[in-house]
Amino acid sequence: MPNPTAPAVALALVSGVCASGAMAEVRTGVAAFGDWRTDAPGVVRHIVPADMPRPLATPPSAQPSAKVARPAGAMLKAPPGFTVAAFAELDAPRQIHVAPNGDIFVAETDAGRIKVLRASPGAAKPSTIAVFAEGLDRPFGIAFFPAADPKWVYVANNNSVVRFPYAAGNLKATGAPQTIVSQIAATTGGHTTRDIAVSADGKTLLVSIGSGSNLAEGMPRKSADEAAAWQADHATGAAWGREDGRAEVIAFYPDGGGRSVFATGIRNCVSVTIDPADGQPWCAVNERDSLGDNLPPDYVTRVKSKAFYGWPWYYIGDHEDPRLKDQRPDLVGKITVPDVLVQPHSAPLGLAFYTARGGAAAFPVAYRGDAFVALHGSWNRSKRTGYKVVRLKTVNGVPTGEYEDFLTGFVVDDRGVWGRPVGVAVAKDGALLVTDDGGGTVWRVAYAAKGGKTR
Amino acid sequence: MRAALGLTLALLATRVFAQGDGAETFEDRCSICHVAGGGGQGPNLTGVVGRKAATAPGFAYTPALKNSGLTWTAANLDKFLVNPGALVPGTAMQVRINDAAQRAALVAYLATAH
Repeated sequence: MPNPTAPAVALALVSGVCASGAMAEVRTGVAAFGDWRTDAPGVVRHIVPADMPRPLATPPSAQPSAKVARPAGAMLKAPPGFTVAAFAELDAPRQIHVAPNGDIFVAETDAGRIKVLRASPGAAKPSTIAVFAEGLDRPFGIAFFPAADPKWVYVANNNSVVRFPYAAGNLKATGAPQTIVSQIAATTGGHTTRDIAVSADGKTLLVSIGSGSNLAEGMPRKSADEAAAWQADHATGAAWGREDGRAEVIAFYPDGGGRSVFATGIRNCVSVTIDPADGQPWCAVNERDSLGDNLPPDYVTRVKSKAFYGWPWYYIGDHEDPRLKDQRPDLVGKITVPDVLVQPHSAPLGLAFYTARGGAAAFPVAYRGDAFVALHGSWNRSKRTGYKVVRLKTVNGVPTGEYEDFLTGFVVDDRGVWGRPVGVAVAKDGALLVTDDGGGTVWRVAYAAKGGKTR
Repeated sequence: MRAALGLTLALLATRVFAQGDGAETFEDRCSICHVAGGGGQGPNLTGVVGRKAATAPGFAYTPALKNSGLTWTAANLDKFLVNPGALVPGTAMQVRINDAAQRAALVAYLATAH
């Protein structure tokens, strides 16, 4: 088992590896576990299950970040050739999606609003900012349906899914919301975000809902027979009690009917996103707390129908949580190991695939098909980690497990941060938009060196 | 007399309902971070009403809250819960309770959490 505090070994494991055509330093083994001091655009990490330390190798830590004003001269850093600038100031912007006509929809979750931002291609700022809908209960997920020429904008609230009539160019909903799913789950405690995506064939809505607690603390224990009976009536690894219908991705028809369980034991899938290249659903998932600084990894993964990801009894495959020891031996061997393991406690929230094939701000072709993930940042770790946007490497739509720092610089010191990235989306001109609920900003990252290389 | 009794019962019912609502709001909006017994993302809130801000033992408070000079009176908690970052810029606490009645019920519930 690697010792995450051995710097000599760490240095030995940093090596030059040729990834996606560019020479990049890939940190593996214990060197892959880092904090904000080792973050910089271009740094690549690759964490595999064998790198995980034992539970409580280090004590749990509560270090929530303090929001500070952006220090004079502090700016986000992106790889060479990219420019970063504040695009818009909003009230704690969270999830973000771009409509087919290029209008940018942003959830101001705490304020209960969905806003629309409109900008000309290449523009540094939006020309219009409008309120599309308000008075919603912690709206987060946004989806356009049908995808190519939407007639509806779906919004996932804290415990409902609604849709607004929509025609391209609408800056304000033209009608009252229609309730599509009146209750996502029987309980609403704990994790609050609900995300929504439309399947590639347009027949299914996927809705993600996180757990009600860290580790199903309020869930009564069942005997082996009772657990087997519950599972037979529900899905492999389905939780019960206050966690009934939680830590899942669920599926509906676009009219709200046909409810079914798509994935279980997926503790908090904050973003559910379809890879436009192959139609595969993906999740960015926050794993459990209080097992130490470097355990367990959060993850970003392709999600297959009926897959079970282990929560609460197991993490990252058949690794049993010592706090729920011997409770579900029947589940060993039934747990899907996720694709990309992310530094524990990073809090991956937003997930978007880079799709632009051109435009005033389009990224170099090497980025096409890769995913961007916003890491909101740690609290349950002695040294701050996350607070950055990373790029997930893919080869023909298959993640390699490597991820590269793309946008860093929100952290000031071991306590203070001036922003926290949440959502990522690709604008029609090819720029990457990043919401920041800590700083109340939407950031725009554009590629400036036209025809050049990123490094 | 009958009317007065009816009114008293109505008030009583409102009060009971409000407290139950506060417990539910706590479970819904607060408990994942403010874990009973401590160790969560937020401090233990047992006995929070009436105490000076940032004084629960063993919790790593932000400088912003430590330097706020606030005492958690019901009125200050209510103000804080409208938008924590507006009252104490730099606090790590982010949850807003937008509904005034829900906030009041929550603060009433916190006052019973000893």
